[in-house]
Amino acid sequence: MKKTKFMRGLEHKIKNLKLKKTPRLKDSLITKPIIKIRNFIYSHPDWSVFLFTLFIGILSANYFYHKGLITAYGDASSHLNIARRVVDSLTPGFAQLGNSWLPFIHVSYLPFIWNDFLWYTGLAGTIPTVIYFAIACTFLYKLTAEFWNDRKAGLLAVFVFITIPSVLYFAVVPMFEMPFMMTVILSTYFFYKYIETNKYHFLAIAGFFTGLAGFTWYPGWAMPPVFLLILILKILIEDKKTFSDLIKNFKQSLVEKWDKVEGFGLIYAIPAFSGIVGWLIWNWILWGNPIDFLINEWSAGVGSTTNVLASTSLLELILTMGIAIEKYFIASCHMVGVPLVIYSLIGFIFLIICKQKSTIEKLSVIGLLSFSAIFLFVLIFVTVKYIVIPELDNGWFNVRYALPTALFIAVFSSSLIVLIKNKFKFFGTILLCILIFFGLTNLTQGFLQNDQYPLRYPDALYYIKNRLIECPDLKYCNPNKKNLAAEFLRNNYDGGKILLTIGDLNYLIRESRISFKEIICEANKGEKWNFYDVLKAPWNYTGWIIMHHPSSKNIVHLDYVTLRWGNSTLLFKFYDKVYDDGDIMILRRNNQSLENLSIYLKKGYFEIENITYFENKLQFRLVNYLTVQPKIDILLKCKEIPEAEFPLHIENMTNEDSMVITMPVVQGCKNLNLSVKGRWYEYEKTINITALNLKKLKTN
Amino acid sequence: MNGISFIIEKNLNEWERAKVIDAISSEFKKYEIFMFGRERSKENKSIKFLNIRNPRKRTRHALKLCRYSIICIVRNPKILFSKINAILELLDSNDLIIGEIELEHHNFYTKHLTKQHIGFLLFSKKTLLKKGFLENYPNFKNLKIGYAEIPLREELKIPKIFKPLNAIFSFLVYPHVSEKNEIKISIDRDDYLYIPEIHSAKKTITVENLGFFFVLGILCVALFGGPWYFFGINPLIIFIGLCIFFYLFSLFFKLDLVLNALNYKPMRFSEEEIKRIDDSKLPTYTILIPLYREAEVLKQIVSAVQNLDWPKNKLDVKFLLEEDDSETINAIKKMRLPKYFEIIILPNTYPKTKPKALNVGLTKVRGKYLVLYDAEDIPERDQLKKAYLAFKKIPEKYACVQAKLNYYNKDQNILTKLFTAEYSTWFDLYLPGLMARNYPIPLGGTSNHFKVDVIKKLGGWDPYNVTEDCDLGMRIYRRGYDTGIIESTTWEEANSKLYGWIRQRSRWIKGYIQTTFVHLRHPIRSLRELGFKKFFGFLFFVGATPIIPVLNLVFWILTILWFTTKWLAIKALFPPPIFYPGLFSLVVGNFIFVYLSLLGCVEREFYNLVKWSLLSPLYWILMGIASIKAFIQLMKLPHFWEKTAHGFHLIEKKETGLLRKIKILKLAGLAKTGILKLAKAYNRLDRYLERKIAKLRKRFKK
Repeated sequence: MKKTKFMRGLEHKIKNLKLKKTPRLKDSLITKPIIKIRNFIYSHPDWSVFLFTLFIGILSANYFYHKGLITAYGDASSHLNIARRVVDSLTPGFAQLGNSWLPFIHVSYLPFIWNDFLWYTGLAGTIPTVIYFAIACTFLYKLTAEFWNDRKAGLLAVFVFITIPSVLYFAVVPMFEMPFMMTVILSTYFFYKYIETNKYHFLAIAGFFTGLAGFTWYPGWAMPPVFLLILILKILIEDKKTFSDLIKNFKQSLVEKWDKVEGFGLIYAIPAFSGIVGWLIWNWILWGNPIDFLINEWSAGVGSTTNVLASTSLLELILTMGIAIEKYFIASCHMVGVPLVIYSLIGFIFLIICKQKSTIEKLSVIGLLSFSAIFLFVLIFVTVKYIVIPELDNGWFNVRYALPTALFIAVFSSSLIVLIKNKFKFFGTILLCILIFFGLTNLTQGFLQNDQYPLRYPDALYYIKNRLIECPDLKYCNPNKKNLAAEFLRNNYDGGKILLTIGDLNYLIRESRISFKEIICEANKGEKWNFYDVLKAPWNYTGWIIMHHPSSKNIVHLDYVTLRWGNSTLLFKFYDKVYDDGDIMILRRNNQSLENLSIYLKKGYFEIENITYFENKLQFRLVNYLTVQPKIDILLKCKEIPEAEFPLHIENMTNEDSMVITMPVVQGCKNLNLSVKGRWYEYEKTINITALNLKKLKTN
Repeated sequence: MNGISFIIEKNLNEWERAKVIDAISSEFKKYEIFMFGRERSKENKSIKFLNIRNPRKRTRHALKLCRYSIICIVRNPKILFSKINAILELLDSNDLIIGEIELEHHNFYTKHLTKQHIGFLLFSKKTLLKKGFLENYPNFKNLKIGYAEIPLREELKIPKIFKPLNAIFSFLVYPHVSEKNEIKISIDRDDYLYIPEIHSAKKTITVENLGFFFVLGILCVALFGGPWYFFGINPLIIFIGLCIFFYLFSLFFKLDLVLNALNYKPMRFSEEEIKRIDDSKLPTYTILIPLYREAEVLKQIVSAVQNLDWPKNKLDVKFLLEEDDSETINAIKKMRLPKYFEIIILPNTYPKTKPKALNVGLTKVRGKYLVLYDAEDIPERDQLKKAYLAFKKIPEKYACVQAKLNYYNKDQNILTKLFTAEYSTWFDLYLPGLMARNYPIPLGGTSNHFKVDVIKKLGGWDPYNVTEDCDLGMRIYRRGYDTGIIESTTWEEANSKLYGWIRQRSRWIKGYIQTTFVHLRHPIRSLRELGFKKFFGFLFFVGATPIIPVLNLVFWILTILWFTTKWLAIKALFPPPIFYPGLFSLVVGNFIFVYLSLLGCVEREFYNLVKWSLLSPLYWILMGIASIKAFIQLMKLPHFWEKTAHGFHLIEKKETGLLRKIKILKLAGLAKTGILKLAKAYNRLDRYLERKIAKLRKRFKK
């Protein structure tokens, strides 16, 4: 009887069995659990990978937690605080998720963020991130194992992935890199399963995870078009042998299969685009503009980028494209390591030339894993300074954005196993050994090279080493002072509402451990607690004010409090400056504030701002506070020429009303006396013209 | 003894299991068959049964009995057979044990078996060696096939808490007076009601219903009044909260059904299996076709029946016609049909409903099996044989198999497109899901294949219930029988006229309400008879169906009102713990339901309908309107049968060429006159305004 392939395989196994005759493990207290674990690993490889990587994630979290690096990035604090504000705020609710970042990670922190300890240590974000890491590893294993039909390939991919120190760091940091990678690998896996099995429910699941990626990070928005394109190709090529057949009969097959393309396209596209559409609707409902997230002050990199598309020269465009490619490549090398990039390139070439897999299967993996790279490349191309690297820009900024390359580097590196299985056994084994060696050295060097800091490549090192935060002008600011401010608050805060602009001061609230129920920030837009109402007259509401010093160079985002009150003297009638380090100012309402308030409420208060002088004209802004002034008399006197007076009368100035006033000055005058008389309040100011900046006056 | 133990995959249903056993026993005829689990299969009487539920114990026992064991998780026996044969050949010369201990490993198994991997063998051997089974049982000679079945059902144990309820509301539990008489299929009664009146919708609300509502009312008072009295919570808020959680629950319930349906395959039979049937051994099959003023589609149904693959001498086709429908009667007589067609003229008595007609037909049935088709139906050619095969394969307790229904005029207009999308979701996703999860299946209106003896035992249809199919479906389960689904489709005509659609849908919803009332007359008894799971399934799939469209309407109106008026009273009804789940229901829930209808179309391979499914929310609005109509009609005309008109697709077909052009021209003419009228009206308005403005100017000048 002719033996089948299966029988031959079986016989081979049996022979091996007899030869090996491994001694049977006796049942004992020690061997029992070992046997159980071994059996479990064999029978549940996916769960084994999940549990193992979860364990690695926990170890990593433990390491970084004790080093105090979990919230080293400024953004990590922001993410934690956004989640925290949903449950702990003067105006709690999902509207607190805002529109600066996509909301998936913040929502996933909610089950833990309510706990104070988990919040201020950052573990509330670490717990879900570690789980995402384990899921990403598991599906990385499943994808590669099923793609190459070999478990070893899957294990190699996971090995490569977890020996990248940056990956281990981002496996514990509450940032969106790891959840994004998880959604990418899940989408890719299920899309590949659809390609392999033709079952539409895999496509629906892939669509769901693509939608989730769209809710995680903006590069996720590039996924649906890439997937759709591959999906259409897949449907069109179904009964064709090669791509050339498809190209020859493209029009005909498109007409024939249009219904199917449409049906499957919708099945995939509807959940896949839900992330994008959902976000636009969210912006529309809450901010009245569907693209508010693009134009608001928080939109990523807007302040620090230049638009190359505006440049007209073709040569310039090509050069910029070259720079973009170079930047992305170098950034990937920084995040992942040069050897791995080279290995993945070898694996990629092998994947391209190997004949085991159909073109569409290859495309489904290559296209889907590399789309984020394409997106980032385009982003770098459009906004040149999106990623800043020392080699080209003499600094570090957002190199971490190149981290998703780790995924396809892991997938492509795993193809070496198949290389060994096929023709190039010797060559492949050597490559594999070198890869394992590099992986291990990468890991050990990453953790041992710097005795204090564990990372070799990412910009996190730079942040961590110097405890720096991101600044748009690439001058790095020292946040240690801010930690002093947090410490001051921790020791001295004794209750009362605090007014601040949360944008740059997220870390301060988290580190000072003050409940968000005491904070009034720009995220509070309720009827009772509205930031902009409070900002008008903070003394009525808040006991404390935290703001940047007006001369601080560390204001990355807009500080509304500084902008409004930074140069005002009125605020200091009610508040005492209790802390000032040149960057952060902390004000506390003084004991006389009530007394002062009652005085000024009766009398009113004037402030003169923006005094400028140009061509014998003096211009200033008069602001009236706290009460209505039915009549105001302004008198400008020249000290040198006493008879040169210039009076002005204004009627009905309400609270917060301001007016730009231009008055003539007699030639030869150097010192002016400006007196403003309200009905109850008088204000006088001496102005030295020579000390003023000469600017062209604005027309009134 | 050498042995092969088959563990059937956990999520196989009974008929699939029966099919697998059948395949195994036919493939390994020379071996004895050993089986674990309770007796289910009628076919294999020679099998010894051992009722061991614990999978680990069961496997050990299987291994004790068999020296050489192959325990495989079986889904598709065909894939396995080649490998098992190969293994068996090797068994003669090699001392090999192949085994699998844990049932949960089946994913691992199926994956590797299909891909021709054999690595699992070694692992299993080691496991078995460790257990030391070899040493204990060395001298078995004969090869046995062990079949381990996983018992799926357990009898419901009613908690003690309910026992006092039995004493207080005994009428909720104990049989009604009308149930004392045995069910007889006879023509004693004018209304042809064979079942006890308490199981009929003759009276919409009975004392039993009132008793149940009373209990429900007390519970509601406690639920709404308690928080209001103690915490001052507005009862409306609690009501809205309950509605939202009910909606969410039904969302997850249906999602669960669909997820289960994806892995479930209705009974499929290959062409070979159908060809293998010996026509001479086939029993007589009765086809009941109730007709009322449907002469237009008569030719279609006759040719569809003639086209059926069943020996014509064993067909018993009965047209059930009303006495006053002379048009159809004459049309049939003119057709000079073969002998196996029979005309039954129904007596002119109340109620004039389809189930009454069927009950009349039931008295004259000659066949062993029975199927009912509507006038506009076109069943697939091999449907009868598939149903016959299904009855042969599945256990005895299956009383009915339901063929899938779908529409042949799906592309007629938007309504038919949406209707088809809904039907596809219903029959291709929800019903298989119900089957997979072992919930009771409400039968579809036609293409229900019955065992005649069983349907007679059940007492036929309820002539007063306007969805007699749904009611019968529930009674089947209450009497301990089951329903299966076969992979065969009957093509029907979708209602293409809006008003007709609303009439039909309101009848269905009215019938669902009637059925719910009927089966809640003895709720505790229903619970006992169906079991908790099925009772729950009945409540959610039949009881909730009329409520959800109405709730949809109410909440959408509230949402629109909020966005347009920002009325604070609406805001007060939605505090955050209710607002967020409500928002989730509105956005995610509706999205999922729309998406499910898309999946239904893809499952049915109606790809061109996928985009139309996106308009499902509009369809739901119509459902809401139909539901309201149903509730109103239930009070006014509970037994009124709103007849669905058929044959529009045939009329549409005639409207080709010139006719269509004339229609377009007419429409264009109407549009033209409309535009002219609008222009005239505009001119008048313009002149009027000019005059007014002139007057005003004069006044200002003065």
